[in-house]
Amino acid sequence: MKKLGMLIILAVVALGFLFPLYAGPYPLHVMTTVLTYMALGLSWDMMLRTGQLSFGTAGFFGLGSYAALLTTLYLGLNPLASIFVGGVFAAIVAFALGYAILRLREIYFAITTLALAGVFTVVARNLHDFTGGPEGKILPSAIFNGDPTKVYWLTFSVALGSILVSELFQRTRIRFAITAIRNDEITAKSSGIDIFKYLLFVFVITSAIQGVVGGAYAQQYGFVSPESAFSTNFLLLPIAMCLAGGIYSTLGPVIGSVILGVLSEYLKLRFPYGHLIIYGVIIVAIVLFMPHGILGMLKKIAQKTRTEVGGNENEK
Amino acid sequence: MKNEPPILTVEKLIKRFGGLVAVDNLSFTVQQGEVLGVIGPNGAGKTTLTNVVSGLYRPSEGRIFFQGKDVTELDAHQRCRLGISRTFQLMRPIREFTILENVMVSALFGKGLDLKSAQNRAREVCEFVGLKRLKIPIESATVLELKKMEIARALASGPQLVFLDEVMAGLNVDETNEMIETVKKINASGVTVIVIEHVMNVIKELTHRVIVLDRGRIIAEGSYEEVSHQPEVISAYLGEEE
Amino acid sequence: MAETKTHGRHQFTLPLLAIVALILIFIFKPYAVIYGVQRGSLYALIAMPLALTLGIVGILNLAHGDFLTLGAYIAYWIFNSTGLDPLLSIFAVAPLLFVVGAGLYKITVSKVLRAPLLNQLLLTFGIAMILEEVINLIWTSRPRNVYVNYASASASIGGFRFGTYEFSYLLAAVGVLVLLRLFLKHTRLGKAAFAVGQNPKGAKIVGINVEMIYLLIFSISVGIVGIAAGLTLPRMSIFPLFGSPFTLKSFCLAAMAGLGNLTGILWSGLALGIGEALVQSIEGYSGWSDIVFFGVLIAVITIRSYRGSYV
Repeated sequence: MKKLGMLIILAVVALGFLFPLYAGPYPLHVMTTVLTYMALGLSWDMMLRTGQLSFGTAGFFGLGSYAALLTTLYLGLNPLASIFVGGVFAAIVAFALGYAILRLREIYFAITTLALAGVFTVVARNLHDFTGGPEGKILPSAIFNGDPTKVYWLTFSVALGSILVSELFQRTRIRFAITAIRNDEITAKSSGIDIFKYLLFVFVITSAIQGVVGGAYAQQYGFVSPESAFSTNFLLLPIAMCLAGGIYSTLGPVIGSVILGVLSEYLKLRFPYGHLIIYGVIIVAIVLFMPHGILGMLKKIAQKTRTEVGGNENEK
Repeated sequence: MKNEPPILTVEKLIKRFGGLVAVDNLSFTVQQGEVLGVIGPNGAGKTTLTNVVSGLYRPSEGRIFFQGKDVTELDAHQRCRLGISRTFQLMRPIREFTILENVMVSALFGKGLDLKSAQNRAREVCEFVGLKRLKIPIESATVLELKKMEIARALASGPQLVFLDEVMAGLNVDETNEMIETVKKINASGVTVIVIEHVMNVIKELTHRVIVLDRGRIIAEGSYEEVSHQPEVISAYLGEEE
Repeated sequence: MAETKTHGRHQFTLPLLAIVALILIFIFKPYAVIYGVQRGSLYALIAMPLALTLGIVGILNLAHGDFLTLGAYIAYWIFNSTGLDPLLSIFAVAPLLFVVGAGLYKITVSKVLRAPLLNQLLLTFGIAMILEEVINLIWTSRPRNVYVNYASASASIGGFRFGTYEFSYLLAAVGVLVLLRLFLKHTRLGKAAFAVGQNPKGAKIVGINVEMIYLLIFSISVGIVGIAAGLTLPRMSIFPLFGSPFTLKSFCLAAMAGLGNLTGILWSGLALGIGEALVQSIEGYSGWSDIVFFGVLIAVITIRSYRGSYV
């Protein structure tokens, strides 16, 4: 069973990696977008696993975008290296802010992260000389001269990296720490868990991922502006995708981003206007009717059939 | 044994909540290897005392020394790692975890073991307290199992001092006797135990020494036989009956 | 844990400092005070209902500001199709939004009252998104406005000319504040609502219909936003994201004032309104004014968390 699972995972990764070889330019573009949101969704979910709802995803994405683009623009840094810089910059900001805001809980943490993203936007819009103000800044050329295959592989690597980090969170002692914190902080600290240390660690790591994704996105278009970098899409869509797939797991955000990403592209073609309504409807519907997402529903069905089968055996 | 320094020293401890004084100028020591009973009517400050010594609350005034070290400013997780652990009167399992995983948490972080050793340690401790169904989810655990899990979790961090906060409450006679044996075993393994309990038989059976709290203060101290005949103690308990 | 009035000593020093600051600002930047008061009253008017829902129902409605947008577009639509003055259309818009609020509460909000906080926030988040996108679909993103001549009325003191219409926000804010206080303190229903906000379980035990109170308060809150919608339409261009910034600003005021303190929201609104107008009046830095709210919000929440009590 375990071997089979590994084989399936390897096959999917290989299929994903070789995607540009058998898919046309349009599917390639769609998948690049999907992978961007997948990485963002995973990072959001990882923070959520500690029990903290962050609305700062777009904020750190934007910081990474600006850091990457501006270091290439002003310092002539290699675009790939600049993406790394985007992650480091977001991580440093998260580390500094974490000391102040990681003692907050519930709506206060959520709202503060949203407000921080607002502050980032205002700063980016108003440092005209440095960031280009509302118009933003353009690089002479996009990364890899805009080669869609290479851009895809770049995004693929970022998403794969996020998946690995997410699995690391699930398979090591980190899982025990953050699940305990999410469930009961009093039990967690009485069992020797340094809550603040773990929250800071997860906050920094997830912000770094968001920064890297932002950096890759900015380099992909060779352009950054407050509206594009801090767009609420980078906050809302990953959340919707995680909810759809199922939270607190690696597979959930992965499934959710593929399904919703492809679905939304389809909807965009059918309904050029208002297709975002569907995201809102999905969020509302899932919260109301399917709080455990697709993954949770599948698990439930699997459990049900198993117990039913078991029940029959008992009767015999 | 008398000449050894105490494992726990509490000095002039005060804990206020707004205008309410839950723990009022408490001073006492606990000797290494001892089983100390803490009794008193409801609202006497027993659980607050546990919370302050284990680090969940900061005291309003006073100092706490553990093995000669001033731990007053340390956080709960730091005190846990130093060797102070506790159970919760209202059991607080991690609901998403199995029994074994719950116990593993404190082996991982309280004792600082890696995953594999933590799992082994958790198994040992569970066996020690008599837990058999280790992989069951919390919803299907019985009260006795949850109580044992609380104790196992408190032990898995490898403590020198354990607070057992009403671990017998709600158990029947057989279960209580089993639990008493478990506590004796814990003490025999070298762990100092502070038992907070309502059931007088348990206190009588287990403890070397008892302190009686009423409204946050110590009103009597001594062996069970000594304190149980003191008029203040009797009136404190009778006062509660009214 | 129950928050008692511990800030007795500050009760006099703070207003005193505020008055001194106000006089100083008025001497150097008279415009900032006038615009700040006007704008701040609008913020407070919109924040009060958000605080009401947060305090009594216990739900942070992230779609709050989008109801303002919805109300303004309805008023706009009424104006276009019947010519009815936006101020008069408040009498249609507010009841309509009350009904919308009630429906939304019944269908969605009531289902998540006991759900984890994540679900509550995400639900209203999703509703906000739907509202914004639906409005965008119906009316497009082109800014709309209506023209009524009284909205451009102005007055002058000394050499300064300024719009007077916006003082209607102050009137409305004070009016709503007074009515809400009367309602909560002196009517049976209001007292019941207040009790529910303090202790829902206790209220249920003494026989208060908690569900009904929640429904009522949520709907009233959305209805009050309708008043603000009708008031702003004559003077402001509306677009699909017109109202959404007000959500955060409202929460900021609620957090500043402390839960259950409606009067405090008015003062906080005025203070932040003036602060914003002040930043805007500094040449070359007007774009930074948004940071006032965000900054104050973060500061207030963080400081309160260290003192151990949030709102």
